[in-house]
Amino acid sequence: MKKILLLGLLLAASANSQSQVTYERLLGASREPQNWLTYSGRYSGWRYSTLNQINPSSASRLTMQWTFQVGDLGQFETTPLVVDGVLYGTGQNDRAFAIDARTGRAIWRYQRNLPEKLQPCCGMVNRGLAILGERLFMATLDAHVIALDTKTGNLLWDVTSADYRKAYTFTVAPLAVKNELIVGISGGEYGVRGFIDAYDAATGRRLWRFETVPGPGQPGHETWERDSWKTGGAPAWITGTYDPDLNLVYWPTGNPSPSNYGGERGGDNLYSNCMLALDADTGKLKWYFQFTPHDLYDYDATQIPILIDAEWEGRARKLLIQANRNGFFYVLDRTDGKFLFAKAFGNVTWATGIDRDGKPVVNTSLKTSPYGTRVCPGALGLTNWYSPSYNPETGLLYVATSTECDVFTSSPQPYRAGHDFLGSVYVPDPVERPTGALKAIDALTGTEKWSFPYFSNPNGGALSTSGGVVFAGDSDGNFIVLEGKTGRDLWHVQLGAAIYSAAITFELDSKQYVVIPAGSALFAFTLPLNVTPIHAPHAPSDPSPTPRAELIFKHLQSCQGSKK
Amino acid sequence: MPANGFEDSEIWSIIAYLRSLVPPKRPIVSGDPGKGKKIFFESVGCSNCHMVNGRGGLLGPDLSRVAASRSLSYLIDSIRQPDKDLSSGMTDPNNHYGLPLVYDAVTVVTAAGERITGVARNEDTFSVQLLTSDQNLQFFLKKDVKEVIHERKSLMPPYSEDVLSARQLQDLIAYLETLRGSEDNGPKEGR
Repeated sequence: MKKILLLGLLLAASANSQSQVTYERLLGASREPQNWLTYSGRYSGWRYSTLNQINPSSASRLTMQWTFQVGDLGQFETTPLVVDGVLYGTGQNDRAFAIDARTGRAIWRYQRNLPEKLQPCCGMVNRGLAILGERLFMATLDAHVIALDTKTGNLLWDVTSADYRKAYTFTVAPLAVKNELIVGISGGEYGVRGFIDAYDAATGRRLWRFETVPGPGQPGHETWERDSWKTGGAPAWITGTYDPDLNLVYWPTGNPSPSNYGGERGGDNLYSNCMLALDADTGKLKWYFQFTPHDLYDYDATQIPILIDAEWEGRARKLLIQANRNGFFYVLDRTDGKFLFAKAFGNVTWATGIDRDGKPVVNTSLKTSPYGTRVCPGALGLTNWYSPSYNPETGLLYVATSTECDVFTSSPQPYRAGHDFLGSVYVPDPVERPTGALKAIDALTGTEKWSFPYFSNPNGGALSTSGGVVFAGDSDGNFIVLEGKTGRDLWHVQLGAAIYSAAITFELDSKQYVVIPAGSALFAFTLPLNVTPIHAPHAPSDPSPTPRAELIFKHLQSCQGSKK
Repeated sequence: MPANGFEDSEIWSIIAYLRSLVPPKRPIVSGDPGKGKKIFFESVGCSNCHMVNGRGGLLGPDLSRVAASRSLSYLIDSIRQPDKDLSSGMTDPNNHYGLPLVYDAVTVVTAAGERITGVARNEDTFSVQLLTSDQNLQFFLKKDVKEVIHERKSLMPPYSEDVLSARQLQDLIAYLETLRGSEDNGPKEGR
């Protein structure tokens, strides 16, 4: 009896450990293509999978497997996680859910009880969860960080990070590293003072905070005019990446506040629009690189930092690449932040180039004014927060781009806590209708290899795989599979509403799934593996009628008759 | 439109600005609305493309209440220079939900070289849905056609003084001025 009990306990423990997502599993996420364990799929930010069932030969046979309706409205920006057959995601207005990844049936749903007066700049959105152990972690619109039980969705802990009444808010998917959750605040359109926090996954206790606008006595404080630092913005609203060997977290920051008027915040405004390298254990700044000093055009650097190891000028280097909202593609040395290379990947007028130190050569004739100035890219950037994808097999970075140029006006605006703080109005160039494209860029040279045109400027990102395909979504509701090497359209389907995220992929029952959010639903596609090609039976050289054939024929005739 | 957190003083400033755009009093039009109606429905045939109170064509905007929403100068410009103000449709960056392009003239060049022009009722990366000049719906897959050309001009031709004299324009405007959304408005037949 004892033996049976012990065996039962062992089996239970085994099943339990299967669902435990340890830090070691996150480190080895690339070895678990059947799952999708972090926001970008792995710490390096590649949004790439080694699954290859869906490839240029098979993509045209993709078939919808299931749909899951979130039950809310607004932009659906989640990146779901998939762990051992369970898919975890978030929805608008801080919903969360777990569903059976095979069928799309809900296991539990969570709805945050949000206060009435919230001030997110750009929708009641949430971009996803992090997982560690048997807990899911979510950063909420009312500026809390919470932990949920993976099996029930029950709230395990809830900590306040900042005051939502002053427009501090979270939209980011947390990053789980070791025993901590790392999150970055939103609110750059409201004059918050940005920060990046780490919380203990077990207790919710805050472990460290890095303030992205340095206060008095801190390095970088001198880059702010008078008291402008107090409302300096520099939010950190997209999930960073992590190099475990260097123990550095790479986290990009957003625009200074007010976003389009710089007259009262003279200086470079550190650490707005920067790439920050932070010690994962302490939050101490190892290095920074600022892409757009003293920004006037809302060029948040909140695009995914992608970590690649490659030969650069004859020696192996640890690189960080980023296609930045300001229109330039950058290559940095991620050990020390040294600038290596930059190149425009579209139409850029705000700067004429990047100098040898990585600083933009600003086109001073285009400064914003009360009368309006046309600037490219527009405020939404040449690209934006939506994830790019890096494929190590093609060496290409796939990035969604927009052609929009905007006419910026600019004037002083008094700060009021909790109210927008823009100093501007911008409108799209009234002459040229903005469009978009998914571009494939050589990750080391910035050279464009191909471009797939979108009718409208995009809000959706990309996913690439070993199958040699890129999954992408456009603002007109098309989910598209392109050939990774050429950009050839292999298959597409109209999902009926704009796509505001990037796809993920996983494997279950030996089937590769690809999941994309569109409108207010998740759509899952697979290949119909059980369908075998139809072949005509091989004809013998001299077929002859047999009594059995006659019986079969008469039986078929009677079946046909009964249908009438 | 999202709610905003403007101070009362700011809201009043915006209201004052909007009011500054509207002439304090709508000018009196000297034309004859009865003659204008005949121009609209008969001699010039504006109604081939525009509908008023359920009567007319589908290609252009319904004008049943055009006087309630457009200034006189806008009406005159729309007749003399229809390309002056084109609908922006999807060019609004905050238009996240893919509303169709409206009144954007598009020419599709088919694989056989035929040019088919119409108003794009919708379009995306892969397809375009036209209301053609003959007021039929025609749908195209972009992969099947040679070219899709966005004309960036109105399908409506400019009505210069050679086609529509100053006097006729006054009459037509006088008729359009009666269109405020009720079928009872406007001159009766034969008045």
